[in-house]
Amino acid sequence: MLNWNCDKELYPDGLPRCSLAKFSPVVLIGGALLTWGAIGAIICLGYGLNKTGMNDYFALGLWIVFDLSIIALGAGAFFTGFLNYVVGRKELKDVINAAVIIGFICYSGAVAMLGIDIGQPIRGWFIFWHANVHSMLTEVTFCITCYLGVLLVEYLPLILENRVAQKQRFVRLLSHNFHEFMFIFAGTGTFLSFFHQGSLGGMFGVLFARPFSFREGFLIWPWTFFLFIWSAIAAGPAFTTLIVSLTEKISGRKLIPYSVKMFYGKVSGWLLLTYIIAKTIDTLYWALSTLPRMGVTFHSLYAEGPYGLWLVWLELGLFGWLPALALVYPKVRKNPALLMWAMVLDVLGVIFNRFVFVIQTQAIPVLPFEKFMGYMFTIPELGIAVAVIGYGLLVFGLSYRYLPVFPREKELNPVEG
Amino acid sequence: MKPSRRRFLQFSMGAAGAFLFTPINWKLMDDVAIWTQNWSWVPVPEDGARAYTTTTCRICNGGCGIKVRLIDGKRAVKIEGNPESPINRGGLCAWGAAGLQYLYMDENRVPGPMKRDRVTGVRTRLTWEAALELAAAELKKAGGEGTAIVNGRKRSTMNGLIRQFAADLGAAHYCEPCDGGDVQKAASELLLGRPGRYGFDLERAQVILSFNAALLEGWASPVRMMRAFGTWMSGTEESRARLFQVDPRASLTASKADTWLPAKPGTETIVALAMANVMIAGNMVAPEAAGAPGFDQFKSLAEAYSPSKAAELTGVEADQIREAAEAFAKAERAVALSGQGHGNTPEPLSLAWAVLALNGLKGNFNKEGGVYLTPEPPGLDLGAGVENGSLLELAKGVAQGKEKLSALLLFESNPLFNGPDPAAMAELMDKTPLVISFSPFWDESTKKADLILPDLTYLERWDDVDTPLGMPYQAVSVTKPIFAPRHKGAPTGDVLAKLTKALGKTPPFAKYEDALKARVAKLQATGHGLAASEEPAAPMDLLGSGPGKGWGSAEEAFEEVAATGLWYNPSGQGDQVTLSFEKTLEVKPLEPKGDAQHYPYPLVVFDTARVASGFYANPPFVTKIIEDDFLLKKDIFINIHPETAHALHLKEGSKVVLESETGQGWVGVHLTQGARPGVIYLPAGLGHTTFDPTLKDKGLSGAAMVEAVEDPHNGQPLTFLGRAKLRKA
Amino acid sequence: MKQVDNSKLLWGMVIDLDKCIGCGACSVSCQAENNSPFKDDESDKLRSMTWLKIYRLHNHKEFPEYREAYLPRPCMHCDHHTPCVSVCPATATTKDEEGGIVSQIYTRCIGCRYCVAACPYHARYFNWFDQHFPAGTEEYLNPDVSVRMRGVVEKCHFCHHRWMLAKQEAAYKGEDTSKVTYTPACAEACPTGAIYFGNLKDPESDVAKLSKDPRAFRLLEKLGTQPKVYYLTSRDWVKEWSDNNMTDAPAAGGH
Ligand SMILES: Nc1nc2c(c(=O)[nH]1)N[C@H]1C(S)=C(S)[C@@H](COP(=O)(O)OP(=O)(O)OC[C@H]3O[C@@H](n4cnc5c(=O)[nH]c(N)nc54)[C@H](O)[C@@H]3O)O[C@H]1N2
Ligand SMILES: Nc1nc2c(c(=O)[nH]1)N[C@H]1C(S)=C(S)[C@@H](COP(=O)(O)OP(=O)(O)OC[C@H]3O[C@@H](n4cnc5c(=O)[nH]c(N)nc54)[C@H](O)[C@@H]3O)O[C@H]1N2
Ligand code: SF4
Ligand code: SF4
Ligand code: SF4
Ligand code: SF4
Ligand code: SF4
Ligand SMILES: [Mo]
Repeated sequence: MLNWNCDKELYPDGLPRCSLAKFSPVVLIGGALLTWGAIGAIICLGYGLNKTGMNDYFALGLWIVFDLSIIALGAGAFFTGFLNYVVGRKELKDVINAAVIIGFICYSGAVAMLGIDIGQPIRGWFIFWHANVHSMLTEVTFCITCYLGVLLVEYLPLILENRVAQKQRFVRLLSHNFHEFMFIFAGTGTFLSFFHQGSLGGMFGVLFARPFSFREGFLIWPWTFFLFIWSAIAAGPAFTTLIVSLTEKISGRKLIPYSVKMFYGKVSGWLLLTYIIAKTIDTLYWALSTLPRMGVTFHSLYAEGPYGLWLVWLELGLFGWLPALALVYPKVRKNPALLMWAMVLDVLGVIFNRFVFVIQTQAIPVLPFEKFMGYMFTIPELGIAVAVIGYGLLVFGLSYRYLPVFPREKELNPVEG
Repeated sequence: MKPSRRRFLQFSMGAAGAFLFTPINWKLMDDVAIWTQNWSWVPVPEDGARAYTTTTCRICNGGCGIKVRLIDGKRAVKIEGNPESPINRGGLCAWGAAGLQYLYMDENRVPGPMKRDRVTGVRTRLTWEAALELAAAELKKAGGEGTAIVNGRKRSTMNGLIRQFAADLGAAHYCEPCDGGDVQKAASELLLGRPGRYGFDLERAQVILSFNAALLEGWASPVRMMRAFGTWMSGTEESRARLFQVDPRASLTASKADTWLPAKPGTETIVALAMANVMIAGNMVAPEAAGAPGFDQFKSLAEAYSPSKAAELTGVEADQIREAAEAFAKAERAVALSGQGHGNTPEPLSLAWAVLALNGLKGNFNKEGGVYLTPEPPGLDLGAGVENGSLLELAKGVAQGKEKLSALLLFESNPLFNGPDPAAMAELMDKTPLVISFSPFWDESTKKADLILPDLTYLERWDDVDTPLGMPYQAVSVTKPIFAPRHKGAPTGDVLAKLTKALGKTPPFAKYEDALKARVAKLQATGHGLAASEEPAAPMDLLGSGPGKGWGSAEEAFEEVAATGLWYNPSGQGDQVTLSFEKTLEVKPLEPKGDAQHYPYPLVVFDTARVASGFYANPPFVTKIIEDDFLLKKDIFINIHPETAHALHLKEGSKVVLESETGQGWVGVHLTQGARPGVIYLPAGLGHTTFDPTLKDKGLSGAAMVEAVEDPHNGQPLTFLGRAKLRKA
Repeated sequence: MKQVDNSKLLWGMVIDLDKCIGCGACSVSCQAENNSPFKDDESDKLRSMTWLKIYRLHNHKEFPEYREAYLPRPCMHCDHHTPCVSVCPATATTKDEEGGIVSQIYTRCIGCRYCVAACPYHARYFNWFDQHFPAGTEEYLNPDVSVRMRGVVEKCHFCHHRWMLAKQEAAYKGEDTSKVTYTPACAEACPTGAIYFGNLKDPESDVAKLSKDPRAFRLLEKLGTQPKVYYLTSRDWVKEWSDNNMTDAPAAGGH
């Protein structure tokens, strides 16, 4: 009979893993989504971007929304690194590896999607060669590529710590050395990440010819530059916690102490609260002062089509004030279910914010004689987005199965008797 | 190798360095990027010496001068208006600017002479010798009494050559699809006793009354009209000319006019008579009109239509009629004109007469800003004896077996698409064993022809265009071949000459070029005329600036006229006429065919500036800019008023079946306040079943939806008004 | 974004909407001059490449007071902090130092379409499809204008190739190339003479005078993009279409 645990030697030492049969759904689902994405990519690269739902009204579509969202949610990596190495919150070392893996998945997935999204992928490096330093997109691309390198360097030692790999003396030495330099990488990662999370926000804030997304600001940085960073670091840790909790539920093993989740809840809570205050002020200033001077009224931006005022209440209310106040309240953080739900709202909030800035900005006509337009993605287009989910599922699943991701896993799951 | 940190660092630095500084990967990256900049399937147009050839655009009979930019004399890359031609002064319409798409869309071009086996549908290419031999043999067999000729080519020497060919052939039937000009001649005979065309000095007019002439959508000489509109709109708001447009819908012209008088379709004559009423009642009438014979008779006719009475009948407010009439009467230079749509289709004779009468009351004949009774420029009077019969009667006769045809020749005519009754036309072509088409394009009728002797396009052949409709001065525009023919077509003029010889007769000219030279010689013989030149007189002082110097010899004249593309005589003398109101036409309401119960809504087929109404297939560049509430995918949109739509539970973009007595088809619905409630407006020009995919099977042909209404006064078929209904399934 | 000194030459356009009749000759002439492709079905206007798009406006009235007017919209060649140029990451679109024409470098564009999202006038068109020229039509392609490929953005460039040719001709004749004037294809074809083109900085030019005409207005003035295309109309309901609401608050855009 097939031995369902034939990959035993690869398991992190002393840690049990479920049988391959039980593990197979991860591979199957991940693989299926990746295939759908691959076919979508072949179609979009082969026949051209006319196979997507985008057009000259919606130049940026599902892929950019997805990119912005996963990069914001990948902020858990650099922020945990920042808190752990720079601020010195040592208890986060239990979750730093998971955070780095999630960060790596998000950034590599985002860069891959950008590769297909641009009309001439082969000329992608022109952004570096003919860089226009004034463009926010140049800043974004520079920082993301560098930070992806940093994440790779942070993820590499973890791979090298696989039991079989450690048998090679050279690999053992390499992974040991990496650990010593880790704080440099964490530092550079933090700086680069702050910068590109901000310039992603700046990308839309600078569009002074698009009243809906334009924001005045401080020197060359529109307020959205700061708001995007703020919302990313408010949602990143929450997202990391949710992924880890999900893995705990699936594997049936405790992976990180609840205190770490509580700590993340507290950090996310206070960051989200301060963010939502700033966001509310920004929205008011924009609606009451900036818009009129651009010849547009706040109301007119929500008058047409399905994107009505309810969007504002949803973003500020359900996804903003509610989870913020909840997470700031210790009683909530103590209750695992409430903690999870608050974090889910926090994560959905940042995704919703990115959606509004990309899709609603382009849906609302600026010229008075143009009509409101809707956007709908196509099957191949969706494929490439879900492929990143499949890719994440696979990478995180395999990392958990074969790499010592959670240092205190053995301790947290004592073997009875 | 003793593992140590230093050793490790050296190793990683070396690896990174190697990657960065080997040229291979950077070179590869650069080469691949360059590859994306030079994809083999992206054409790179060849450069070469640049030169312009002057000729005339002949997509419609507007007579506009054009310059074609050639590369190395081989490739035509751009058509521009010729600023030296006084007709269009460098301007173009959308089709003129897209002219090269007629020359180069190979899919639409008949490559050379060919015959088609009617049973199998198989076509075989022929050499010209074989094709002419076959044609001559077949025509001899068919004999004159069995032959019918349809000549869509008007206003040109070519018209005469085809008419002469019909005479030499002894063709029993010769039909020219109706020509609005005949209505003008009839109205002019009634009022002025002179059956001739007349033009309008619009450039200098201060007040213009337009009765349903789509002035800005292709009327008469479209670009000349658009330029005139440009002059009207120049200067301060006070000094500008004022345009009053009588129109059944908020057409473009109605929108741009100062005042739009929204008359119910078919009631314009009443509006004209009401204006006459205002002028007579306010004795704002020129002395020569008041003293003209029959004036009292006309006065009593006009008295029947006071502005308030007219308002009831036509839907136009009384004070609008008064305001227009007073402006027209008081202005120093004012003109009234009609000629619905493009101005060549027959309009109701009563309307043409009534509008001409208004000019009579104004006394503006042959005066600045008025009507010029310009005689036709001398031409070759070929085939004079050939009578013009009705194609519709012939088709019905053949359908009912009363007539038997053995040969049908089509010159620049596409009856299957544009004929007055397409079903009858189809039967006519089926029942006639030999159909010969001379079209250079794969239009519907040519697809069915048994023998095709394809002509060349206007850019590859000699041709001339007589004075465009509405021109106040004589003008003959000339086209010339800009380079050797692109395919194996041949000029129809030359082909007819060879056929005539083959039939044992002597053709008037061996080549069309010779006929053109003879025609220009006649123009030169008048001793007057100018060619298009560097500084054509500004429109304002063009007319009446003398008949021009003329040329010493016919050769000299031809050389300059061919080089510049135009002969014109700006003398502006019109025939002297005596005004008489004795022959008045009472107003008979124009009832469209089709019973009102079953088809409750009047259907108006209208023309727009963005669709060639079938004369030439719409070029892709122009089809591209047709709005998406006009043509969407395969559906053309009718225009109806929101109230009418609401009553039928229809909303913007719904799909319905438009049904009339003679045809039906799916259409989209566009709601516009520009449509009169209770009337359906259908754009003309689409509904082709051939040509390239940008046009094929798109929209619905107006010709099939409207049954011609006989004009009560002269029996001419009026094809702009019908009845229809809308239904869901 | 350093401000370029355009004291001597600044190309601009004035379109008189009283004269414009929406005939489309300008848009078609632009397509013919600039090798525009066409598809079998151009119904999807959001993927239909018309550098000079003609909008149809109306006066909101009921029958029979209803009126229509047309507004041709080329690229505005925005002069202040050009929205598209300021966002392009690969410097594939630049506002030329001399004359202020916003040009597009097709071989450098990576097709990220950020400029398309930035432009409020929708004057930029992305090549969603490979360009296809049916049999025979490759012959009529103009050698002065490069044919574009899939995956890059293209737009009206004030026919700058005609300026280059005019300068070459002047240089060949030994004349002063800085005094050269030229006419874009759309202005040349317009039958009503509604399109004027010239140097906004030359007080004698039509465009300079007309841009100060009381009838003059610009699209989305308040955004502060400083478009170099002016429109004229004597009908208020046409001018009201030029901005979202005509509040008199000062312009906010750009920094
Ligand atoms: N581009 C192009 N130009 C052409 C042609 C072409 O096919 N394409 N054809 C040429 C030929 S052969 C001809 S005969 C002419 C076409 O002759 P036109 O006179 O142009 O005929 P249409 O414009 O098709 O006729 C429809 C016009 O009549 C108007 N109309 C509707 N109802 C009424 C009414 O009750 N009373 C009056 N008086 N008018 C009404 C409609 O508004 C519309 O403008 O054009 C010539 N020029
Ligand atoms: N509903 C409706 N129906 C109408 C009209 C209308 O306004 N409304 N107009 C009516 C009127 S007034 C007329 S005159 C007829 C016009 O109808 P026709 O006289 O049949 O002319 P068209 O159908 O316009 O097409 C002329 C054909 O000649 C071909 N052709 C083009 N150039 C040349 C050339 O150089 N040589 C030759 N030999 N052929 C060429 C083209 O393929 C084209 O299809 O339609 C009539 N039908
Ligand atoms: S009006 Fe007629 S002749 Fe003049 S450019 Fe247009 S199609 Fe050609
Ligand atoms: S060519 Fe002239 S009149 Fe025609 S749409 Fe263009 S600007 Fe208007
Ligand atoms: S109109 Fe659009 S494309 Fe043209 S310069 Fe302005 S922002 Fe750029
Ligand atoms: S699509 Fe091309 S021109 Fe536009 S921003 Fe991207 S690289 Fe620049
Ligand atoms: S200036 Fe040139 S590129 Fe721009 S719209 Fe006019 S013709 Fe086209
Ligand atoms: Mo006709």
